[in-house]
Amino acid sequence: MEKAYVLKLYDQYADHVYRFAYSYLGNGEDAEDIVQDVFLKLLQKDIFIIPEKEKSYLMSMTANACKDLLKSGDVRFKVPFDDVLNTVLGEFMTEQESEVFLVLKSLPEKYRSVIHLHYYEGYTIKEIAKILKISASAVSMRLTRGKNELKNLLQKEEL
Amino acid sequence: MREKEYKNAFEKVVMKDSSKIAVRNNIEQQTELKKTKKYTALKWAVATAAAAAIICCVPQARSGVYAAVDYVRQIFTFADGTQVEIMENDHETVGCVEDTVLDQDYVFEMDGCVYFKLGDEQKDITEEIAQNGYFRYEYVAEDGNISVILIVEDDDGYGWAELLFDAEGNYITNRISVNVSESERNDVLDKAMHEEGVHTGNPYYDFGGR
Repeated sequence: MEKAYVLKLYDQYADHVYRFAYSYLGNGEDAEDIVQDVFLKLLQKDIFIIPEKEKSYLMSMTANACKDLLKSGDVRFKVPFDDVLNTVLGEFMTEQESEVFLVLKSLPEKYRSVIHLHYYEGYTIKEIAKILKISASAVSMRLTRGKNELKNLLQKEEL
Repeated sequence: MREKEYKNAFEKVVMKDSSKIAVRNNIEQQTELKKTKKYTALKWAVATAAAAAIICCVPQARSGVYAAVDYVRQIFTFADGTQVEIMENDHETVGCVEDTVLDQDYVFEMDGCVYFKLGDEQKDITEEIAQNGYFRYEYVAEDGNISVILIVEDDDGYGWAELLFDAEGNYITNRISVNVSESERNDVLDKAMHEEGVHTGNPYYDFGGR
């Protein structure tokens, strides 16, 4: 793929890739590695991406890269989202916003990825199914279970 | 937690500027794939294909005659109307681009039952899956191409695989939407695909079988 095109996609979507990887892995250093991994791999591919599908294509590559990293066991041993909470808690985030990371810590990554793609990126269930290469019914189930767990965790936090 | 709080929280999660610049510099310093090797870099496997643009796994062996330098492009249609363009040359390397026309799942669950759905056709397949382990449906398109749709239980409920054959029964390609866990194989699906005579990616079936 042409470098100029990859750089254009990088400038446009690097933060989105980073946020998705961050939601998946729970730490910034690994998420940065994923960003680099995704765009370097993209440079080596020779494919045509339909313009309106560029972002979802990158999300799909990100999901695959995160899954590979988790399987390899090379994820830096850190408590998920502690780097965000320790650096920005009380500084740039409101109490409600930092609560998001506190509850996400306890959520399995397969629920986190679906919740991020739905809540932050605004993808539909069918779009998420294509990105994560799972069935729409699996997405629906994970979203429902993830939301229920978040609700339970938030209620525990309030207590 | 409301959607707005989630969005606001993650909006503040950004790469450090120094890291962003460093990664960009790394990309700039890499050598892009040269155009003379346009198709040798394309090795498609279901496990690595990104769903948005690449959706199929094309078997290595394929009947047909291709020009030594030029490539052959053909468009095939899955049962739900999704089209796939396959480009091949005689290096046995292919590329596919998906152009989704209709976007549907072939299976859904409701009130404790499992249903197969294609267009206006809908069928309760709960008993069939319970008895046979999976559900099989064959669809013949107007052009004679055949889709074999397999519904199997997966880690999150039910998934499906669609195998596409041409009118002569030659296997063209597949697309799979089955969720697998750490083991990364769905044995029921592998067995069902093996029974259709196609490559499964599982050496137990592809090189020995039961």
